[in-house]
Amino acid sequence: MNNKFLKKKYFFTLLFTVLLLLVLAACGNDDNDSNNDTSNNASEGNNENTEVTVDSEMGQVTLPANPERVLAPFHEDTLLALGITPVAKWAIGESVQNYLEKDLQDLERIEWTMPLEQVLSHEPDLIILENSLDSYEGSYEEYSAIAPTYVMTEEVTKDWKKQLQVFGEILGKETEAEKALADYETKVKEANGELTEILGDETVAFMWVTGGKYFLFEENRHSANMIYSELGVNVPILVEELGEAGTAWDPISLEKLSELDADHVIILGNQKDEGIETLKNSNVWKNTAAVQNDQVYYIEDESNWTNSGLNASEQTIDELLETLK
Amino acid sequence: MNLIEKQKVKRFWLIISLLIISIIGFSFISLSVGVISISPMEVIQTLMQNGTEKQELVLFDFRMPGIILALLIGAGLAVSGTIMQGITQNGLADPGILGINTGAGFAIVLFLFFFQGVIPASSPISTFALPFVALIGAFSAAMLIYVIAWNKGVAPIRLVLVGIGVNAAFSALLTIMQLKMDPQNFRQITIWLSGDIWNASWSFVIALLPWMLILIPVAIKKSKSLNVFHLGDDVAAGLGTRVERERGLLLLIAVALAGAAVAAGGAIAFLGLVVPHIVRRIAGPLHQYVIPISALLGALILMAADMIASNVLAPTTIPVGIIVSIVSTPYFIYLLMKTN
Repeated sequence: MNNKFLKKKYFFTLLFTVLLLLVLAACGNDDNDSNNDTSNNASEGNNENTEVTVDSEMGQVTLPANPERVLAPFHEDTLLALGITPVAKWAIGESVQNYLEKDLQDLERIEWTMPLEQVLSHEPDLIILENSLDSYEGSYEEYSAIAPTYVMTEEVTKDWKKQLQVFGEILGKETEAEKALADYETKVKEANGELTEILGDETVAFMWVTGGKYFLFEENRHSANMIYSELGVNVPILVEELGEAGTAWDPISLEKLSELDADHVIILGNQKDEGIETLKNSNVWKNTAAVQNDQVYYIEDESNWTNSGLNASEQTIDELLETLK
Repeated sequence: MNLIEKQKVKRFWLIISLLIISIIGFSFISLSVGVISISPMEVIQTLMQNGTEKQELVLFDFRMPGIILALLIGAGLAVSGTIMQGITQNGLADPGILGINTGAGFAIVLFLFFFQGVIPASSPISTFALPFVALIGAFSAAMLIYVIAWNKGVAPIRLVLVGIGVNAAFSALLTIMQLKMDPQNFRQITIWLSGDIWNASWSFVIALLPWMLILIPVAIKKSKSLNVFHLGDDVAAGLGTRVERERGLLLLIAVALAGAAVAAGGAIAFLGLVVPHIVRRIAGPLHQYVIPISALLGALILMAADMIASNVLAPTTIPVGIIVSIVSTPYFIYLLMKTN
C-alpha cells in the first residue's frame, strides 16, 4: 500500500509544480512581447531634445526632458516654486500639506508610502523619490518600471535650496530656479532689516502645540533654522539650551516652559487643542515675560513652519513679519 | 488495502483536489483585485499575452509575485507548525512559540540599529540583507532553545517551556531597542513584526521556491516518525525510532521552513498554530495526510488574507499578519468552547 500511495502523491505534487512552473514561464515571456506596446509615451526622435541624463542617488539616469505628469511626494513645494503642478499630492490618509492647498486643492492624494498600483493609476512620466527608499512600499526597480524615476541624494532631500537647483536641472527650468532663489535671498535680506528694526535685541521663541503636548523649536528645527540664522532673530536662552535638533522631536514640559525667557512667543497649532487651554489657564505660563507683556501670538496652521521648501519659507517669512509688526 | 483505508485515501485526494481548485480560483480573484481595476476577462487576456503593457506590469510584476509568495509562505508556516506540534506533542506549539518570530525580529532590529547609516538604502545589499538577517536570527533562536532544553535529550515539555521563556526574553530585548531607536526605523519593524509580505518580487519567489519544494516533500517523507511520536517517547524508542535524532532532524526542518517564511513575510503569527488543528479535524492524525493538506490550506488562507490586507483599506495596505490574527481568534474561541 505504501508504494502505490507514494507514487500517486508524488505525481500530484509534480503536477502542481508543473502548473506553477507554467505560470512562471508565461511571465518570463512578457519581456519579448513588445508588439503589444499600446503605451502612450511616443517620444522617439532627437535624443538631445527629449531626454536629460543626470546624476542621482542610483547613479546616472536618463529622464524625459519635458515631463507633464510629475510625482514628487512631499516635495511638491519645490515643483510649485518652478511653476510645475504635479499630478497628485502627498498625503497621510486625509492629512495633506495645508500651506500648499491653495495651489494643490484640486489634486488627488497619493499615500506617503507610494503603493505601486496607486502610483501607476496616476500614469506619471517622472517620479521623484527621497533618498531613503525604506518608507516606500515598492522598490526602485518597480517604480522605474512604471516611469523614469529619480532618487534624490540625502543632501538634495534635506536641503531645499539644493533641491530647487537639482529639480531645475531635471525639469529644464534652470532659469526659473535661479530666479526663485535670487528672489528668496532678496526677500530674506529685506525681512532681516525689518526684523532688526521691529525687534532690536528682543528674542522670539516658536512653539507648536498639538495633542496636548508642547514642542519648542530648537535653533535649527525646520523653519527656525532660517529664522534664527538667516533672518537674524535673537535666540532665547532656553531655546539655546535645547541644543541641536535631534531625529526625534521631544515635547517639553509645562514646568520647563515656565523658565522661558523669550520676549515674544509665537504659538502654532489648532486653537481648540487642549494644550492651548491648559497653557492659558496655567499660572506659571502667565508669569513668563512674553505673557506679561502681551506678546504671545497664535497661528492656526503650522504646516509651512514645520515643512521646508521655497513656498514654506516665504509664507513663514510673511506670517512672521505680519505677526510681529 | 482494506475498505477503511481505501476510503481514507479517497477522501484525502478529494480534499487535496478541492484545495488546489480553490487556490487556483482564489489566485484568479486576487489577480483581478487592486487599485487598478482589471476585470477577470482582462486577466485571462493578459495571461495569454494579449493585455496592454500597463496591465502586464500590474499583473506580472506587482500582483503575481505577491500571490505566489503568499502561497509559499503560508505552506511553509503551516507545515512547520504541523511538525512542531508533532514533535512536542503539544497542540499549542507553533513556530512563534519557539522564538523564531521574535528571534528573527530581534536580529533585524540589531542589524538596523548598527548598520542603518552605513549601508546606503539604494544598494542591492540592503534588499537581501534583512531577509538574510531574519533567517540567521530564526536559526540562532531555535539553536539557543534546543541547547538550553537539552538534558540527555530534549523532552517535549522542556522544549515548549524553554521556547516560551526565550520568546519572552527576546520580546523584552525588542522593547528595549524600541525605546532606543529612531521612531521612523522602529515603525518599519513594527510592521515587520505584524507580518507583512513586503518586497514581493520575483527574486524573492525564486529564492523561496527551492526551500519549500524540497523541504515540504522531505517533511512528508518523515511522516512515519511524526506519527510514532504520538505514542510517547518510550514506545517510539521501543518501536525502533531513534527518538532524539528524529526529533532534532524534524526540528531542523521546521525551523528551516519557518525561518524562510519569516524572512520573506515577516512574523506572521497563528497560521502555523491554527492550520494543523483544522486539518487534523478533517483528515485525522496521520501525518502523511496532514502535512500535504496543511501545506495547501496554509497557502490558501494566507493568500486570501493577503488579498484582504492589500485591498480592504485601499490605498493603504495593512500588514497581512493582522488579518490572519483577526480571522484565527474566533476559531480559537470556538475551539475553547468545544473543549468544554
